[in-house]
Amino acid sequence: MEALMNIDRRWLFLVVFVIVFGILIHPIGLPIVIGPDAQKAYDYVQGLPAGSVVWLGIEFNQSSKGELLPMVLAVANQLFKNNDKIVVSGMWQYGTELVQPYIENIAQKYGKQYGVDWINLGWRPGNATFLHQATQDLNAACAGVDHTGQPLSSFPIMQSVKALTPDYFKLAIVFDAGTPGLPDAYIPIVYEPLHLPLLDGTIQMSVQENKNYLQAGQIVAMIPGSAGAAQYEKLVGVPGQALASQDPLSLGALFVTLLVILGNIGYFATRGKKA
Amino acid sequence: MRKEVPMIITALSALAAVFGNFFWLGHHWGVMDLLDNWFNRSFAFAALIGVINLSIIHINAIRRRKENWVYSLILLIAMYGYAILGLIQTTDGPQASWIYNNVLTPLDSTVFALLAFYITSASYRAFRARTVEATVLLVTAIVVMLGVAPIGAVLFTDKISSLAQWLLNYANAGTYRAFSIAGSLGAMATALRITLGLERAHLGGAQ
Repeated sequence: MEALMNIDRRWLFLVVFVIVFGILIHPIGLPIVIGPDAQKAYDYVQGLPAGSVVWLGIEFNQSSKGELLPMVLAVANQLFKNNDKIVVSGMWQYGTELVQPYIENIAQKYGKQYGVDWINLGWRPGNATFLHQATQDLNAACAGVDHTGQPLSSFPIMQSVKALTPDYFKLAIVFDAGTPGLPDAYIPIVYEPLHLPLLDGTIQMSVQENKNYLQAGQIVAMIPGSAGAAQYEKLVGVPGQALASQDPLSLGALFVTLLVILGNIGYFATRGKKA
Repeated sequence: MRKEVPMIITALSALAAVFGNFFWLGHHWGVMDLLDNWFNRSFAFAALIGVINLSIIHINAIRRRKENWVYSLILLIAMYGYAILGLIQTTDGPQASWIYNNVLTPLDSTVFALLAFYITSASYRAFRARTVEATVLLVTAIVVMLGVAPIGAVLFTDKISSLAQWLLNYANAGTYRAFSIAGSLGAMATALRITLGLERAHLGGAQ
C-alpha cells in the first residue's frame, strides 16, 4: 500500500504526456454540455442589431493564447456572420498582432474588407491613460494610425467610430488574462462612467474574480476559460482548438482525480502502521 | 530633508489623486489623466532603475567569474540586444517580431505546458485527507475540477456541474468578496497612514 503513496513522478509525467498527445491525435469526442455562461454570452452577441460596431479588447498575449484565442476566433466568426463590424485593439503588447492573421482569415471567409468592416488599431501603451483617451477621442488615442501605421482617416469604418462610447459601440468584448484588463481598466473607465455594455472572455484562473462583476451587473455575460471557449465554438458552429482540447483536459482531470484517490488510499492504509 | 521632501511629495500626490477621482472639478480639469501620464513615466524610470540594477549585479558576476557567470552574460546580451533592436526598428520591426515569435513565444508556451506535469505530480503528493479541513478542500477541488471539465457531465450527469457552479457562485464568490473588501479596507488604511506620514517604511531605513 505504501507504494501507492510513492509512485515515481516520472511515471506520472509519462502518463500525462501519453494522455495529452494520444488524445490530441485520436480524439474521443466527449459530449460538450453548453453552460449557462457561454449560452448567455452567445445570446447577447446574437441579439445585437445587424451592423453593430463591437470593440474587441485583446488583453492577453502568448501565454494565454490556448484559452483565449479560440474565444476570439469564435466571437469574430459570429460577429462577421451577423454582419457586425469589429474594432480590434489592446493594451497588451503583441496581443493584437497575435490575433491579426486569424481575424484576417475569418474576414476573408465572410468576404469582409479591412478598413470597412473591421480594423485593427494595434497595441496601445499607456494602460488606463490610453483607454481613458479612447473614450474621448479614439483617433487621438491611437496617434491617428492603425496597427500598420496607415492613417485612420483613410478607413471608412473610422468615419463612423469616434470614441469608445455607447454612441458608437454597441458592445465591448474584453478577452483578458490579467492586468491591464477588465477589473482595473474596462470597468472603472468604460463601464462605470459610460455604461457601455461589457462582455468578458477570461482564463479559468480569473473566472472567479470576474464573476463578481457579472453578478453585480457590470458585465453582461462571460465566456469562462477553455471549457467556455469550447462551448462557444459549439454554439457558433466553428469547431476549433478549444473543442479539440476538451478531451485531453477531461482525461487529465480524471487522471488527477484517480491519483488523489490512490494517494489517499495509500495514506489511510499506512497511517495506522506508522503510528 | 531626506525624509520630509519625499513625504510631502507622497502626500501631495495622494491628495491630487483623491481630488482627481472624487471631485467634479478634478475630473473636469483632467487631473487623473495628468497623474496617469506621470505614473507611466515614473514606471518607465522604475524599469530603467531595474535595468541598471540588473546590469550592475550581472557585470560584477562576470568580472568576478562567479558560478554560472555565463548565464549573466547571456542575460545581458539578450536584454541589451533586444532593447537596441527595439530602439532601432520598434518592437513591431521584422527582426524584433521574429525573435519574439520564434524565441520568446515558444519558451513561454513550453513553461506553461510544463505546469500540467507539475500540477499533476503536486496534487498527487499534497492532496491528503489529513484533517477535516483538508478533506473539505480536497473534495471541493475534485468536484469543481470534474464539474468544469466535460468528463464530469459524462460520468455523473450534469449534477456535478451544478454542484461545481454552486460552489463557485456562492461559497467561492462570497469568500472572495469578503477577502476583497477586507483587502481594500486594509489598503485604504495603509494609504491613509502613508499620506499622513505615519507609515514611512517606503522611505527606507527604520521607522
